[in-house]
Amino acid sequence: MRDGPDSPPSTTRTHGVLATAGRRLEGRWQDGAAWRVLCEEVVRCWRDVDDVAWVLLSPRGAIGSVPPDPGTADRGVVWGASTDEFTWSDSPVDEELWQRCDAAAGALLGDAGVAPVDPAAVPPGDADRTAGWLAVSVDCAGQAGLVLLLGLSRPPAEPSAIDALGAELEQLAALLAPLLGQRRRLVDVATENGALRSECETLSRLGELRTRLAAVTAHELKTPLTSITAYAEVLEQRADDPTFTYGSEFLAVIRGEADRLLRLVDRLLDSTRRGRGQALAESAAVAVGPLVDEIVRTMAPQASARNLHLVARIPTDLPAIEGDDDLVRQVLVNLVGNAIKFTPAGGRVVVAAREDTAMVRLAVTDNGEGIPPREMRAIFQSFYRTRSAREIEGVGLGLSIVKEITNLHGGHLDVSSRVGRGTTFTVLLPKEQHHRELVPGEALGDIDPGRRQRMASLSLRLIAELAAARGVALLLPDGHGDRRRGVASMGLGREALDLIANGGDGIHRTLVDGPRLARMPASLREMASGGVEGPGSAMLAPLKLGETSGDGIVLVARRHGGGVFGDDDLALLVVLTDVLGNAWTALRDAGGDRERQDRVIEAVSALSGLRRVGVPTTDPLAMRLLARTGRRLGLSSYEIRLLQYAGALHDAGMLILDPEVLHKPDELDTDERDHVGGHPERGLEMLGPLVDVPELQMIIRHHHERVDGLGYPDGRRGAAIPIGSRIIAVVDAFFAMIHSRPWRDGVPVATAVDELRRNVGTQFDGDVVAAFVAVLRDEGLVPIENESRPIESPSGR
Amino acid sequence: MNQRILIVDDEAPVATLLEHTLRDEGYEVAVATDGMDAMNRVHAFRPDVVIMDIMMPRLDGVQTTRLLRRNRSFADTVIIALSARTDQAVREAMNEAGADLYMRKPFTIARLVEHLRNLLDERTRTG
Repeated sequence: MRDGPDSPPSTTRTHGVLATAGRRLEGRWQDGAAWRVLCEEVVRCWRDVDDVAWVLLSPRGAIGSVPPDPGTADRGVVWGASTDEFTWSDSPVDEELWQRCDAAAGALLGDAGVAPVDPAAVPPGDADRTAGWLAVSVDCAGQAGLVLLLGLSRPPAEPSAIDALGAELEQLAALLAPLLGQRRRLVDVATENGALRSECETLSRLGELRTRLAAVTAHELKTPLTSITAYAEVLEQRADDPTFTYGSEFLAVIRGEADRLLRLVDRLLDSTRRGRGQALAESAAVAVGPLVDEIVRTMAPQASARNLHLVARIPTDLPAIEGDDDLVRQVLVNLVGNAIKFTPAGGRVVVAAREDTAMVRLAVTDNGEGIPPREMRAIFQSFYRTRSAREIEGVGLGLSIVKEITNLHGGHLDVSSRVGRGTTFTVLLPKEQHHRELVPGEALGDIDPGRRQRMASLSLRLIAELAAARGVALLLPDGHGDRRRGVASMGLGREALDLIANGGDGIHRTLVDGPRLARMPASLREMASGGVEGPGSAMLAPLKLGETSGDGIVLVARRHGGGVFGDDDLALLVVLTDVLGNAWTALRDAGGDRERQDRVIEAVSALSGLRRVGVPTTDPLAMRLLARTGRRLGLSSYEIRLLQYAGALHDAGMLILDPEVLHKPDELDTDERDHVGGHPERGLEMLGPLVDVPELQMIIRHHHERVDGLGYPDGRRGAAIPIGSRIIAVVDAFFAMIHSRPWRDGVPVATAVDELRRNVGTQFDGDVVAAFVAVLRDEGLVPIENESRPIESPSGR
Repeated sequence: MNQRILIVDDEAPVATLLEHTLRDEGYEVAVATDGMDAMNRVHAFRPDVVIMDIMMPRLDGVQTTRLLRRNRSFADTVIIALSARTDQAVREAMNEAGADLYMRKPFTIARLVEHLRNLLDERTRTG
């Protein structure tokens, strides 16, 4: 039946589309078939109108997930009079026709309404029968979701005929829009379901890891308990046996094991509080570059559906990280997925990676709405969702999973955000290391292979992070003269192990020559930078392990940020190798006492985080200022060495502070002040095996005292505070003032100096401040005018 | 001749107590501080029973049990696993490796001795 004079009024025809489609579907609009049926009915409705040569529904354009199924994302429904039947074109249609239709659709995007008949734009195929077309876009959530085109078979006789058709098209568009919206929401829900399922899988994976960890922890706790019950049992049985003479001996064993149990529990509590003490069961080298590429590829459709640019910026020579492939993938998927979700259309999401010192830094940056400061602390909690996130589907587990995985890898997660500007999530994951097992020898005594490797791994990390180097190697003696068997390296390539192990290029001379700046052997340079000769500056220092055995060697190369290593870097390295030498010696001398060994390992592990939490005195400049100030105040070279050593370690206690309190921009309450006030002591406890010298312990304990007696922990005054502590207090305060913090910008040096002077007699020692300012002046760090200003007398502050 | 028991445990207090108690019970007892040490001793000592801890350095209890069972001379040796690990995976691994009995730590000596006697009696009857 062709549409003649007795054709039904256009409104009826349009409503007929929905009615017929509804009947066919028996009301099941949410079915997969619904979309197809609807399209068929639209075509059927128009094909009987005389002037219409063809009908096309094109779900092309910025509509992403709207089409009936992803396989036909850029297909649509087309009906042409020449074929006299409509096709669901899931087979490729003539490419040029699609391009023409696309152009027509493009002209309409975001602009609902009817486009005028354009005789010039005639899709081929039906060219002989087409005089022009009419088009309308159907809106969905503010974006064009569907383009409906009518091809006209003859030039319009009169404008009113065209207007009538146009009005009908608009009417149909209005009816279709809600259905399209519904369809879109369904697809969104399906996507969300998929994401939830993968989150669930990751959670159960993490759960498994945690169960395994719990099993090992339970074992640790039961071990002393076993001795206690067994000895108690025998004591009980023999209570009345006069021949049994070991009573007090048994009681001593029980007492000792009970103490051990208590210490274990304490340590366990400490480590859960810090979120450490966990480790991946299995890890392997994960190439980050290909992983990021893959994720960007698979998530690109999701991004373009929201009209976002998703870009990867990965340097070609990025080193591998050490971890679990699947878990690292999950981290990236969650972060990129979040960025896509929270960035408005037209925005940009960048995934970047670069090599840091001991870690590889992965950053996902968006230019979305940002996270308000007051919500920042809560975003990593499970089920927390920001105010704006509540309008977007999800359960709020994504970030807590990211955090958990990062912790599990011994990595670090950071976020920075500015409202209205965007957000960057940064994940630091440890670089791949190469280890060659030591042949057990007397030099390292009773250290078992697992602990030896963990200690070697932490040593590399500590040096890389604190000496700001990307390449580090560690050689350990095996106790048989000069043959060095244990090697570990990071950021130097696997082949470097052999060269270093064989003592290539005179590396072993370090044991005789002592610490020195060096040129990296050309062969090693090539290995380190994948065939391209990199910067050749390096440092070598012996790792002193006491007199009874041979020493180790530390090689540091590839300065972070480029450039050559200088005297300051070397001085810092000497302090670091001192610290590490003590740690290795303590580990060896623990004589197989695993608990003591674990305390050493834990202390070293804590130290490698120092620079990250922003402890300023691990800076080469700070090291130099400490030494020069000490020298000016007449300290001996031994005292200066202690001062630098304390300078590097003294704030380790900060690491166990609650980060929320540590970074709180407001005034602290009493509880929080007590918490912070305890950190010098907590630090000493943690560092125990590394600070076995009483003078050193004193310096660290008292670095937060004030000369007016109002400091902590003991409220000592004036000269009762060790001179080293008084110096560290000034240098610490200086660096804390000039460095920027997340919650405030740093102040100029001159202002910091004024502030130090203003607090002479209350917080600081006048002689120390004077010496320190003189050193700053020598260094050219203080402008001349500051020098002439007299030091103010202590004010009433 | 007295029956011989080899105690394999890296926890000195437990090993020492077991050593003395079992000796008082009339067994001939030797102590190995880990799996590797145990493997070095078994050929000379030829134990009738091995009391095997699981979590040990160098060579753990599962590996040691597996190695022992691979050797025909120790196919009939009674192996009692004694561990604070109670997770199913470890128990299964130990069972598969060829342990005769799994006892969890903490344990009572009385019960250990009872199991020991039963297992040895059974072996004498069937062997």
